[in-house]
Amino acid sequence: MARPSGTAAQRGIFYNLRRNIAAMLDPEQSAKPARAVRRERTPGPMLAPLAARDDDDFETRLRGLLSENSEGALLAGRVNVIGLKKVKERFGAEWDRFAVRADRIARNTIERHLTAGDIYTSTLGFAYIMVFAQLSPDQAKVKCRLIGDEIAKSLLGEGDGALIEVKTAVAQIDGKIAFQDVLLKEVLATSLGDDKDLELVDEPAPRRPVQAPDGQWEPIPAPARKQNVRGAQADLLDDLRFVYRPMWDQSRSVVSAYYCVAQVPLADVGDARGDAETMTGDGGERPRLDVLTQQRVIADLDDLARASRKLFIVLPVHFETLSAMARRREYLRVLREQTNAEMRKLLVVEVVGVPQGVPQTRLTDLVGPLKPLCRSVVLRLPLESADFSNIKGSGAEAIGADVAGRADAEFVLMQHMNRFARATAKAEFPCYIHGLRSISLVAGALGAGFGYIDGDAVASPVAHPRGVVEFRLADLYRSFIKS
Amino acid sequence: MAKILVIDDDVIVRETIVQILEDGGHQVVSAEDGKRGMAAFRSERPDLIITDIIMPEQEGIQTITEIRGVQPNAKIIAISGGGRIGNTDFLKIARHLGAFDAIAKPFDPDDLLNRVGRCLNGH
Repeated sequence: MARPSGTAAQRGIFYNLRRNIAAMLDPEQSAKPARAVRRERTPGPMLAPLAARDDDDFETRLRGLLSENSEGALLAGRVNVIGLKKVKERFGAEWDRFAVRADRIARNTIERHLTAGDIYTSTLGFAYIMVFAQLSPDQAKVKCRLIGDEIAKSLLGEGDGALIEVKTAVAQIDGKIAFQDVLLKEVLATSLGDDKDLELVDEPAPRRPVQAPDGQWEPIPAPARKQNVRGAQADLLDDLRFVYRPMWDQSRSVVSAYYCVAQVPLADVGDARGDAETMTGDGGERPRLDVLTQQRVIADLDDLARASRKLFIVLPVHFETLSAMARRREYLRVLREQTNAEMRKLLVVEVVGVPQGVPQTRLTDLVGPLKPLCRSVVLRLPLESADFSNIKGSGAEAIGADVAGRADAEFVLMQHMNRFARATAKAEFPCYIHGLRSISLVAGALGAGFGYIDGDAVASPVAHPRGVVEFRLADLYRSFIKS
Repeated sequence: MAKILVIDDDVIVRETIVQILEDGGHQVVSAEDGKRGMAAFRSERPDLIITDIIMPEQEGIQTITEIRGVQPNAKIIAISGGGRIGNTDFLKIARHLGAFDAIAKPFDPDDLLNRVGRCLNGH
């Protein structure tokens, strides 16, 4: 195929562009030859026809776009890059599980924002190079930053846009391209000029320290204290690991569902880990935990559906995440766009932390939109709940509780379990229970009438769902029977 | 007359069984869960143990296993019931692990005394 014409400078830039960008964003990967990021195994639902599909196509169109400019300014502000290197670092060892999905999310998001004449390609190091045909350099920066934020929201939840690198070409130095980080605040400030009606502020202005009369103490200003707590929780979620607790369907004598649990390291306890849900408390990190858990489950659902596995994955999501309309919309969007019919057949969404007595109409608002995106929606309530009449008609298909981490005596837990199960029977719901730590509690749960049961006393967590496994009551006592 | 240990977390059921057995002329000691039942077994050395299956702290199957570990020829009757699911599987396992008999709740007092008699006589 004949190469399109162009200046020598342009040709040199084309040949080195992807390699330079890859080196800038990920030096380890840059040692390998640049090529297109590997394609997903099946075409995604949002593939834009305008996207560059191979190297020749990208270079041809890039030449065309850039040749419209004068040679000296051909790159400045025109070539923009979005990179996932920091996201990769954030996921750590889990990245391999997420890489293909992250690439698909990034591509889908970018392609949604492309218009006629725009082009993009990608590098091996999860960097996406874009050139916008119609936008000014400042407009392109804003658009890229917003695309970056949207990718961050899909991958990591809210507030992590800074993890998506957005850079723009600013100059050509010795045949190489120089890039500059794009900070939305600066771009907007430049674009808005002296518009005093809009104030861009990163954080609240520092409060004047409250001075005690005797000068002996100086309280920490409220915003700083809040920041410390959030920082600690962010660190906690930085080292997430996901496991699945096998759930025993005692009526069918099988393990057929796997409940996804995010775990974090326990401080000063070696390699031991605890459930992230317990550790995060109510400090506002749960929505991000939910998004990370959602991503992991979607990745595994994809694998399981492709392997034609017949089992269920239980995806927990907090009531508070779904209660806020913007977060709910985003959560649903990700489920809608990143799952297909086969994956949804395997998915059970568990709404966690449903307050007692929440109105039935409110529950319907939350459960209704989830139902088309999964096999069923179940609700987890406090074990002390004793009236489920408000849940009837909400669309939920089962009610459960979690006793993991509870320090109550078994006698007390069994009394609660009996009451809870009786109340679910009265409301005509099947019931399930998580986190049973002992065989006596399992026996108690069976006696009370819980249909699905999990916990260390049933089976240890597994890294990946294994499939449907026969599990009879005798298996619970396997160690006794052997002895 | 025999010394019988009754282990059941349900105080009403436990006291009812104690009353039936005492009326039948037996000496009875009782415990409210498997752990306390094991302690009573070690200290009292009963001729027969009647244990519930579903109990806190240590349920009946594990208790039967431990008793058999201490005294392989111990005479044990397992009882279970009261839940929303059938208890036949629990009782099958109890028999498999060495319980002489297995009784589903609710039971008839005369039937209980007959089974206790058969167990003590080794029939």
